Amino acid sequence: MKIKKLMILYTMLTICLLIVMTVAIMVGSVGLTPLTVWQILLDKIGVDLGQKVGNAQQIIIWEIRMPRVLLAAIVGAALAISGAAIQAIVRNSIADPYILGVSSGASVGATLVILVGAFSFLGMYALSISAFIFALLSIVIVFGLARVQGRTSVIRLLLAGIAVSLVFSAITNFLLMMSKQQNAIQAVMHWMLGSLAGAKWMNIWIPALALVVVFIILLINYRQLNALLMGEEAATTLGIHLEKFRLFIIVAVSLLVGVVVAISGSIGFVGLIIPHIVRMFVGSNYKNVLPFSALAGAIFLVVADIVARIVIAPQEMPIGIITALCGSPFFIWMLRKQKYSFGEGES
Amino acid sequence: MITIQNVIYTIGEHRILQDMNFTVQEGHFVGIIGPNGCGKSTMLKLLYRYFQLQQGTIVLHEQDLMQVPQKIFAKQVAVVSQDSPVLFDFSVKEMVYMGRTPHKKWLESDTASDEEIVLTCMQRTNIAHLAERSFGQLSGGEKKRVLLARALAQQAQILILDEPTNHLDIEHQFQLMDLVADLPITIIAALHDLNLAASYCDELIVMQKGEIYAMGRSEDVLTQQMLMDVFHIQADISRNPFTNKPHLLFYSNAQIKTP
Repeated sequence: MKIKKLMILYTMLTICLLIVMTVAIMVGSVGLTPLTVWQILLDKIGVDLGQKVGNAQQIIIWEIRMPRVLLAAIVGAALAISGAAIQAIVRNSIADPYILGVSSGASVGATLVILVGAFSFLGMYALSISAFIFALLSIVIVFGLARVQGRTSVIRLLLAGIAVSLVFSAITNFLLMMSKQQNAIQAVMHWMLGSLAGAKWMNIWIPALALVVVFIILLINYRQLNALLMGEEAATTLGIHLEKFRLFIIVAVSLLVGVVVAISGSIGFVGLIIPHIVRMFVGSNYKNVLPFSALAGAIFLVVADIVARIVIAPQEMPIGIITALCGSPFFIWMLRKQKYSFGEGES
Repeated sequence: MITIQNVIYTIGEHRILQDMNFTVQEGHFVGIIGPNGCGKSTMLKLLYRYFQLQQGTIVLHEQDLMQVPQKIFAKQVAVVSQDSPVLFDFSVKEMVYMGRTPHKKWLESDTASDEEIVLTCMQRTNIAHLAERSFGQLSGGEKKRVLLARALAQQAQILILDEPTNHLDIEHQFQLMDLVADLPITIIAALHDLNLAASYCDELIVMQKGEIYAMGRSEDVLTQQMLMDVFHIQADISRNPFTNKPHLLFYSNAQIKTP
């Protein structure tokens, strides 16, 4: 991939992200023009244009829609880079960020709060905090199970992730079955399929910070991630301490995914397909895969959220349904392409 | 200098290496030969630390091999192992660039000198014209040369090769051995082709059932007795008139034509 070509692609995707974010702010029960949107945004970041926009519009754009669109972009970027990183760590192209049971763990946490009212002393943060704690719990259990005689094998990690996910899903389902409250059951379903409706300025800075930190960690380790794709033996001979490096990256990524899932529910598919789509265009070098995954993931989820808000307006469709419905056909089409090998090596 | 002392390695009940003792002098090209399953690869894997040393010591430049941090180790020892499947798609140049990994600090980007090293290594291994090709689409011989270029890019003083001529046609076998033998660094290679080993290595180590059967100059090591004991094959040993190195002519009793 030539540098010039990459720069063009970067610019295109960045412009694309700005456009879809603008559109996402425009769309809703109160229609807005792109001009109003940008006037208010520029006004808020301190650029005085002299023109004043109505107060109601300001509140809609700045207090309601903006945080949500930003959260969509953050969650999309976070899931995409996490998926890319996990795929390198476990050297498996069907891995996704939830492979270590993060989402099923978080579901139990969320279900407990919604159905049983656990952690009610935490007030409005109960749901996120509980989801996060259970996401962490599942990671700890999975790691504990995968560690035998001081060594963590990848295949044990994957299988332990599946096993723990199944147990947590069973607990969630059990809680749902035992519950008599229809509304609460509906709420749990909604949460599990993912929603960005909870976005506020107050709560999006945590995932934003986690995204920035983990993105930087991954990017400065891009050589190591590349080397891992060469195989364990080769990675060792290229100077990578497999155990330490894997543990470090998995913990970092799992924390990011835990934070993201806690606020938006478990949105599927983004972490799996975005890295593959990106590799089709820029190759497998993580120096490029990571930033492009972040951009593409952000664009994809902002668009998905637009769709989620308008298909059955005034009601909202859970965004997980949209990502799977739109993503799968595209993924299937990709599967048929000859050019990309999905990490089989020979293409 | 690398000194291997009393190295024993077991997997489960099975003792793969009995009691290995040998020394590799700086700048030498040492060939390890022996039948399948004799422990050649295991010995190499211990040397390049993919396997954990269980018993015995390996000393590299007067330092206990196990104490050297992984990254520093990778600057000292480079490896071309047996076929390792490469997942996902990298260009040849990207692959060779990976050899620079141990030399890079956290935030360091690729420099002009890295580029120069990578280009030189690609030219040396005759793959410069493949730079932008995808590694997955190369032939077996081309892949081997790319992996060698990657190892060279590590600029290590020791190069370990595990059956480097596997899957190569005769031309590329010689090309690769010429190239490797020409390097001014220490080389330890597991080899299957005894004639290649005889003509290129300064020293040979013959392994049998996890033990050293013999070691020394190829003239001294390659005897009819050794070939019978270790490889169970009859051979006529002569001199290659062009290289003045031992040349082995193998035959089995079943093939001998009686007039």
